Amino acid sequence: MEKPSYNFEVSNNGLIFSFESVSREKIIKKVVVYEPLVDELYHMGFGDLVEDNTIDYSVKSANKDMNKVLSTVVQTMFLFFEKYPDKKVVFTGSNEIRTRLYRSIISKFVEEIELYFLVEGFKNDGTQEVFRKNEDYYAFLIYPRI
Amino acid sequence: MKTKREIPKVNPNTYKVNPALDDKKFEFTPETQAFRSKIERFVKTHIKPPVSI
Repeated sequence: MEKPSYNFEVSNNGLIFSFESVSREKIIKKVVVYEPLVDELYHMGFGDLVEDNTIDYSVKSANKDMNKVLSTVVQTMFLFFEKYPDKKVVFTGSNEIRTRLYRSIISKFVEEIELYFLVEGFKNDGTQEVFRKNEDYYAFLIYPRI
Repeated sequence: MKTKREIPKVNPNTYKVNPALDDKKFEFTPETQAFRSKIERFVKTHIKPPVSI
């Protein structure tokens, strides 16, 4: 998974990350946030930092660097699990198109991902199963192999 | 069963710790807040904690 990614900053507690998405047209401040939900579960969300320190997970950046941005998010996840190896991360897209994109990316790299992590998918009705390629899911759960 | 491998270490030259991020009071757009609430409800409804014996 050695893909081009952006350098980033991380908070002391390892839960907030920021970096800049750069193109010829614009520079966008990105934020990745890991928030505790219940027990060992954390929600991972990422989006743009808009004015007044407000985070928008839904905005469409269109900065022509999606792969680099997603690779950076993966790097933050590596660092998160380095600090919190016993936690699990839940994530989904802010809309169906993004969720399908995440599913597609996981499907593409699942053999490699599963060397390090276990990945599960959640259907809309909450049914939980080991991630299967090209299956429709509402959300994903990822955590280090024990 | 796949063999477990150590999670790749992030190159320390590619990031730096910024303590200011810990103190920053981030807010969320209303749409993002609704999204966060939705995933939180989903998780609390469907993902059960492991049973302790």
